[in-house]
Amino acid sequence: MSEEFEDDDPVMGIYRMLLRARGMEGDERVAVAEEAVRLADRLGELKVCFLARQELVDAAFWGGAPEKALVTYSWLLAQFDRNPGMFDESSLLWTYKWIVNSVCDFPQISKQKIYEMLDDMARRYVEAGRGLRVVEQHRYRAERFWGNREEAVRLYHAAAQMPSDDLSNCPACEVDERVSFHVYMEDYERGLEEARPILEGGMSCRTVPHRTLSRFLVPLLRLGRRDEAREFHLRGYPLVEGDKGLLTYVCDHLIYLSLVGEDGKAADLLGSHYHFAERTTDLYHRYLFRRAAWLFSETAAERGGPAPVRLRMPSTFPLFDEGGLYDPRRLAAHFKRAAFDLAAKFDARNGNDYFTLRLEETPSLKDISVSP
Amino acid sequence: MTDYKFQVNLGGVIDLLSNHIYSSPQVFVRELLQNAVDAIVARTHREPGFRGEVTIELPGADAAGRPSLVFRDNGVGLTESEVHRFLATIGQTSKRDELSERRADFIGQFGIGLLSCFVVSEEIVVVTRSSAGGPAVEWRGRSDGTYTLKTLGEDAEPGTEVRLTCKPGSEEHFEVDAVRRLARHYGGLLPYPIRLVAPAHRERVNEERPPWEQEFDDKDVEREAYLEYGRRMFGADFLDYVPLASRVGDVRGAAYVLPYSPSLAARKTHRVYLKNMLLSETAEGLLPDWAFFVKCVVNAQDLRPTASRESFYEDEALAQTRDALGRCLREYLVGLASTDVVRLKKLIALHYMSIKALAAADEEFFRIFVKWLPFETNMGTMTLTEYRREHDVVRYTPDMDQFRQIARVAASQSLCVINAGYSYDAQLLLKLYEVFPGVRLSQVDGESLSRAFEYLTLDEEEEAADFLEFAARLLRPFRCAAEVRKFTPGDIPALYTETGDAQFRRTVEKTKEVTDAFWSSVLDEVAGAATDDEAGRLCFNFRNPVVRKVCRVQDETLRRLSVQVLYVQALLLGHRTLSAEEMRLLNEGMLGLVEWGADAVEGWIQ
Repeated sequence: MSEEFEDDDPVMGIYRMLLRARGMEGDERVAVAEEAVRLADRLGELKVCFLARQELVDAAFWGGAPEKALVTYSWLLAQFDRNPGMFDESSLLWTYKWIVNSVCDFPQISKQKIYEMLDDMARRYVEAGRGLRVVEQHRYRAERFWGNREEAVRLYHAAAQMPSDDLSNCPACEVDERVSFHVYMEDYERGLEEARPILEGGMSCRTVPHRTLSRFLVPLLRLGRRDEAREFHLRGYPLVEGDKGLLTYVCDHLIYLSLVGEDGKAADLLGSHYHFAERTTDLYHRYLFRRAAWLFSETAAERGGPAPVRLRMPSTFPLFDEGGLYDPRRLAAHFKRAAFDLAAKFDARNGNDYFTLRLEETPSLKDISVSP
Repeated sequence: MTDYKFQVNLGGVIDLLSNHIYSSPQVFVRELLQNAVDAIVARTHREPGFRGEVTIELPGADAAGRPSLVFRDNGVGLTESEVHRFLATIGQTSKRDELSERRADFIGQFGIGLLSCFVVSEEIVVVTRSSAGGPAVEWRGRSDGTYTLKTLGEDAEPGTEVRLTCKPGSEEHFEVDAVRRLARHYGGLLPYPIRLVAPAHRERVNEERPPWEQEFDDKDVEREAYLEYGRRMFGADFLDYVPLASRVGDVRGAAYVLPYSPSLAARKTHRVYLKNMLLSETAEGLLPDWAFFVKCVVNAQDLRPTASRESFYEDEALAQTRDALGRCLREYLVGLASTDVVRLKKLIALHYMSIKALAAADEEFFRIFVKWLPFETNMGTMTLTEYRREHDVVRYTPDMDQFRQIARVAASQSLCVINAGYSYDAQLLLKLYEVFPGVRLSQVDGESLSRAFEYLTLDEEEEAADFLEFAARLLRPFRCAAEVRKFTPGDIPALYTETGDAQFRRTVEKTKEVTDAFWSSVLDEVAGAATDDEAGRLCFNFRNPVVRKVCRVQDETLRRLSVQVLYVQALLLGHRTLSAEEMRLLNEGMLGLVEWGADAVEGWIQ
């Protein structure tokens, strides 16, 4: 990269790089932001280092590199504490939400550290004169994540009764949060009712209706409302396809396509997202992807027996075949083992068998399978 | 004549409309135009061959000095009972959702459209007569919620006339220029005349037809007409144009090739008309994702708008339309490849990202375009065809960091390596298996590159043995292994390579220099338990004269300082940020060498 020599004023050069990063996505954006951080560190101007790292947190969080976001964010917090009044508090506290949101996805981080982090977040929010609604929402998500359903439900209702403030989620995300809860409670009709402002009223933001549409794919199939499920898929998939921050929702579409027997489309999806899914450091995303890929292989095997499925996989795929033909039973065995490996990691951290149990239930999704 | 009052608080409804449904008061022109269009379409349906016409009259100020506006169409008109129905619609309208739903039927749209006029007018007078016969009806509504209704004679022509009287503060919306601009903006594509009439002024505002509705004998004239239309629509000089058509949705229009490279993250919006009326200037989802190199203007006769009328509804018809429009663009590109390579090259220089995106999804297309698509390599940008002319094996690094690390060393060994860290590049390379059967692909990284470095001879190995053992011991605390090999270019004394994991650990260590106890413990957990594995590897180059000399040095201090400096220099060569400890190594090494040199000189003088 030779940008660093193009500008007479190095600060302007870094700003320009950051602007350029804004126009990119995924790895590229992360790489450019990292380069900007490197140049800023060499320059030694704290404000520029801070700005470049803010961009890196954003790029990494939305680009499927949450560990980079986490480490970089801890630097921002440290400099914020060391230099009172120098940096904007609101945007820093806002970003904290992303960090606690992804921290459960690292099985190597203990539950104790996650609880401590939520306490640290709460302390900072209170010291900044803000309410705890957002923190409580994240406590709910954490409990839900490791299958502590009773506590999750209690925390959800507790959070819902707290007042909103300027750090609360945007209106579209608030609606989606309610929708997500009702889907979690398997009250799909209620979820659909709550989702109307998004689905019909055009309420939207950076990730809504993307997430909302994906959430309902399997529930709609369960309700036997196939046409709507198809509509949600057609509307929703283009919004999440290839988006590294929204891989979990891509998985919903893979499950949907497998269940309705759109094997060609499902294979395309699997092939085009596999490389990233196996590279992302977000192991929860990777786990969900392996689980969906397992289900795809199972349904393909059930429908076509040993007949090979056509898949375009990168050469890093352990079963790689240059001709792109795969025995679905071998695929199923591979993805099943890979998914259980990760489930075991999460269960070890969580101190229960929630992930493994949930994975064992996956093949039963085939019962709602509908032939094309 | 009868006096009535609405059941609902009309003030509330007006407020709702002006604050929520309509982004600006100017939309009353759109709404009146929409009503006129609906009425004309309905009448054409009943009387084939009927010619519609819309007149907007600005008669000037009344006795009280208030300007007014008369909007007239010769469409289907309303019967007395239909007027009652539309009043009922207004009466029941109280929620935003319901407003959207009610637009679906003609009468509902008519009523809601009319209400928007209260934003600029205290009083609305509607005189309408149905083409089905019966008396004309006059409705006079006021924004306080009262209205009167009376029946007139049967001698008026069928159609509807809406009279508005300017509310104080809304004068700007009643000026000829403003009304002309809005009428043209929303109704410029309507296939029947919209006339603007004012004292001593008469014009047709939508004379010109869009290029896709015109016949051209001459290709150059067509080109000029399209580009000029694009210039007027979007205010830009486009590189080229592509006529668009889709049977599904009954869509016609034009795509314009942007004269600059768009940002990947920018929203791709287009100007869309529905049944010749402007629907939105920022519609999304009209083209396939890869087609971000064009901006479009299209007219659809048969797609469904969303409730908020900002875009088309995402359904099967839109998906098929998107495919059809994508095919138009694909055919255009393929056509260009056989007819106008100069223009194609210009286009690719700006829009190779878009072309690569399509190629990644479309093998046949990739086959045609592979000879033009540029890839970045450590020997400059080139196409895959050019690359294969020179090299048997296609070598690439899957990410930018690795590319940076090895670019120079690989080049000096005549290895041409593609940086496949950009969007779509890795995907396209994997497709080469199908495009060039028998092609050999090889992923390159610092590890694999250095594995090919030449080993030392037995004599040389003996010469370097002491040094190697010493360096390995010194570098162990940095979790870095050491070895000595021979490679080019000879001016690089040592090459440092590491796994992505090692890079991450370095960042964590550096960050822990500033974080508090709690965050440092979190970072430790993120990075995982430290292992004994060496994450990095420093490969000294025995071809480098300095390294060669250092291998022979016996002085312990000089040896230590040299290894320190060579290690840090190799880190810097690989664009790595130094931790505090490495910074200390560098300083100590440099100063130590200076001091050692000075001592040596002093000793030599004595």
